[in-house]
Amino acid sequence: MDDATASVPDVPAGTQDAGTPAQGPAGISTVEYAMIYQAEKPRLVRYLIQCGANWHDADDASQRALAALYEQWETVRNPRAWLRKVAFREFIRASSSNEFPLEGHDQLLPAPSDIESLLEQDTVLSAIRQLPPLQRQVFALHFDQLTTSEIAETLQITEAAARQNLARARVQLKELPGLTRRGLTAAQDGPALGSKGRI
Amino acid sequence: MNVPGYAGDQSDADLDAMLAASEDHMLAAIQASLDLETGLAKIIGDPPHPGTVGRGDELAAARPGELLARKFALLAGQGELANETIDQVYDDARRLAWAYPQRPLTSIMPDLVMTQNTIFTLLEGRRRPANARQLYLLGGVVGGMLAKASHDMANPFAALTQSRTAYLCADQADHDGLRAWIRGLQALITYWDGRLKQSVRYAQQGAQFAGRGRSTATVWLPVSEARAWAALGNVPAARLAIDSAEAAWENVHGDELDELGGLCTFSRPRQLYYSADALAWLPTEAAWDYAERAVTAYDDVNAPEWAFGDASGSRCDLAIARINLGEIEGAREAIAPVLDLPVEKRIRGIISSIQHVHEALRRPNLPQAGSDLQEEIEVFIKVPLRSLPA
Repeated sequence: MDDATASVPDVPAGTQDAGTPAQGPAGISTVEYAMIYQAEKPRLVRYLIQCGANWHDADDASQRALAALYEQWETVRNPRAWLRKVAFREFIRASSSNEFPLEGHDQLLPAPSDIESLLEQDTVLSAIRQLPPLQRQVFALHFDQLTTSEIAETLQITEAAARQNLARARVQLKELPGLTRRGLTAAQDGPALGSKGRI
Repeated sequence: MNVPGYAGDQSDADLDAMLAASEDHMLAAIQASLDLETGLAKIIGDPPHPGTVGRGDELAAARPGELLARKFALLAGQGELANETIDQVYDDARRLAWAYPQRPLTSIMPDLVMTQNTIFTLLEGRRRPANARQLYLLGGVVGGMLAKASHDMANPFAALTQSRTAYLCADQADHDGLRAWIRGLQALITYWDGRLKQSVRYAQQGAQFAGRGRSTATVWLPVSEARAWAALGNVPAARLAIDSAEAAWENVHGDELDELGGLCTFSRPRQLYYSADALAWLPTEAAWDYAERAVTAYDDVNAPEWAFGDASGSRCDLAIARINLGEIEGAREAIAPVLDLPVEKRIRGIISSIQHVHEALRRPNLPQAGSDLQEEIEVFIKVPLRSLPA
């Protein structure tokens, strides 16, 4: 099974005269950054909403984190974990004058669009927002396809703690009516999350 | 066979299905509600020379992606892009598309990255709309190949991230054939990652675009769907999708991606391999038949459509079919060329395929030849491509 064949054209040696890409303050190309921005902003907003943020706070904190990424690009080792860590910190900072935001998950403030009512109808979102704070964060990051080590890095916990919280979150979610058949059965027996009630 | 990522009880599967269904819906709703253009402009700043391209109605009528592209056009301050430069990039992308299935990834990676950088740089310069469309098309193709490269290096997350960037390019180029091809890649990545229902969804979404473009992706997508259905144990859906792929050839006319060729097009041998791969999950006569035909189709290493990954996958499927018939020696013979592959070619799909052979050998009273073959496989998978230093 040889690797080269006569029918394959030569691999390009690269092109010349490509010019210099427009650079951000820390060396990232504006196109590359724009691609990251477009891909990450909606995910960051979703992560914060799952953590309990309202639309406005999630949008604002995500924007601040992405702006900071542009400025600090060269020093950021893992942009995905970094963005989520910074966005959550910005969310907490913005909400610090109010009650602790993670406990305020039941209220959604008015948004500039119909998005909030759409999100309110999302069974999975409602379920995630009923989890205890740390489990909620771990699960939201897992939902966002971060690896266990990235989750641990983002939340500055051990990988074992990340795995444990993820497992507990899954157990809780499976008991909720509307998410699994087991949840349906549990719903007939009583509330799955005690005082937090059902979705 | 065990499907990675699908271990656990029924409520685990229910939960994963609910989560997967919510993922796309919620993200799409958020995406539609965000003003990404304004948010991005606040960070990277307004264009420095706002008077140099169309304004007013022209900008107002543009879609968000086009607006973004026009902002980039203002940033670099390059001269008008020469057609010769576009032709050069096209040739580079075509050569890479041909080289990808046949050469070790390590030998083409630097050129893939360089070509993508060139395309992004050119997109930042001033160029005519027709040039922009062509550049986004090529950007999507090269981005798709980079996504495949990450997948081959056993990094599915990076692969999906890169595929989403490539999909953005497809949207910017407004090219249904490219959208279909990238959905096909996403179906492939998620299939090997054990996210089988997501793989089915990607294949189905891609099929909608492929139908409009009439490219060879109209065959690739249903037969990709068949593999995922088969791995999920849904025999009727798998068979239906295999038949649908067979019938799809009648409507194939080819598009710009098929003209690029190589990894960008789908061939008859690949269809045979995918069908064999689907049927390997469902031990039947047809599995053996498709696998034999796929191996034969990939016999000629000088054929333009020859691909070491698909050739190896076909051999693994033939080995599984033979094991199911109790022919251990025949299985050893089928995968002998695979076991001889150098580390540079031990991509994710090949490692997974040969692991499936190992799983097929798991049975009580396995003859000595089977036990020896298991050991050989274990030695092979111990050193995959991803183990090479970067």
